[in-house]
Amino acid sequence: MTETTHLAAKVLLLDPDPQQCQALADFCAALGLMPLVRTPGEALATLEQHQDLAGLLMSEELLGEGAGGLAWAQAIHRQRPELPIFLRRTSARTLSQAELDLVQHQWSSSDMEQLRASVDRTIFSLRYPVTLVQGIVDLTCSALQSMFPNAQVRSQSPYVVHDRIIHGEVSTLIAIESTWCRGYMMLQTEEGALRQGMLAGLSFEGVGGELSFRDLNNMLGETTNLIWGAFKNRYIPPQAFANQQTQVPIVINHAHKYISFGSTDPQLCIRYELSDPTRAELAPLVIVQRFIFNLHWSPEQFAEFSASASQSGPTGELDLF
Amino acid sequence: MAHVLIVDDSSTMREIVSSYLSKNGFEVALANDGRDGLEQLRKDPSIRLVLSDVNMPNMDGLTMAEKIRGELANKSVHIVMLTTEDNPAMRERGRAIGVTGWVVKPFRGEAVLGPFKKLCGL
Repeated sequence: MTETTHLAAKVLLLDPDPQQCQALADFCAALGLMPLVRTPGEALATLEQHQDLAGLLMSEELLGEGAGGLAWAQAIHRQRPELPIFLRRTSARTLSQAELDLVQHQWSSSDMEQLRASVDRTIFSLRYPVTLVQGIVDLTCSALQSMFPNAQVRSQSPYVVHDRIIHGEVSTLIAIESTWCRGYMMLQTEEGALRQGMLAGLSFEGVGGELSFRDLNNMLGETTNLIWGAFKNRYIPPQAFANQQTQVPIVINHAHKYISFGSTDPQLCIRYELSDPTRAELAPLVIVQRFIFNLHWSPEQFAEFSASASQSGPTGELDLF
Repeated sequence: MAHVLIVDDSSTMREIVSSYLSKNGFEVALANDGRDGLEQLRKDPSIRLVLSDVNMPNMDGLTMAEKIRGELANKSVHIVMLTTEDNPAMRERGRAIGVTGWVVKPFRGEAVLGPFKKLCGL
């Protein structure tokens, strides 16, 4: 059996009982969780600051303070519904439906095993082989070092997140496909920090052009490409290459609402307007659709295909053979 | 001065490679994908070495190499793939097409300068 690594995860810990809070902090440390211990009043601001969390541990006492407590918990859940809430029960009362909607797991402090099992099942639901995680760190450090030869590159301990919020403004996305996995790799950074690093000479002299946002996007895009290549060479077995498709990094710069698929070709764009026929005064809802054929485009082959393909029949009907 | 064509969809990579090679005695032309590379090679008879990425939009590097060896067979030009790909089957395809050499990225100028000069007869 493959040895899997025990990763860390950050959780927000909200418990007004100092003794319980300490016990939970110790529990977290034993389990690899990094607790951010906060008062209820600090919770929302902490969520704003930390966008790489894996869950939230809170006491029922915070819910029990009338409708205000519930509204507060709902506000937290609304802000980050991806974060599972583990509720420490302090009473035997039945939770209302509104409360149950918020809480993913309940446990009582007399049974920490229950919490441990829930955390394992929820926060650490995917186990990563030690050699894979270490290999990813090694090849990424090597790629970063080659793109930023004048920088000292260090990695922090890998951890898991359940948050879905993007760090910074510039991010890249590339498909990762092997016999044992299918998914994506993302790199995310702050545009200002990347520009600063380039100005400070971390990369090659004269590389980066005018350091416009497009130049910075390209820098992160090429770094992504190097990591992806090294990953592929190390972790994709030859038999997977038969179906291997070309990939290029997709670069997104949120600050400029910019996305690049690595090609200068036009994109096919279709706008759709959805309006209320009974209320002409309302502005329509506009949905924009774009097709980007950046990796392969052969209209000649499409012509052959469409000539031989049968017309599809009406949808939603049973087609008996 | 030997004339090198760098074909890569990444402007950063084009800058890194061209800046190193221009400082080391090469005249450099740039193309951003295989289609563009082929076009430049058709127009410019002085190119002696094509240094190309494999994975690129529009036309990948191996397809470009195939076309160079087919459509432009009268051109005496070396083709070196500079790529993140280290897949034996892909290398084999390159060899079969008539690619001269294969360099796995990252680009380390000092490691390839000598061989590139040799290929260009410098």
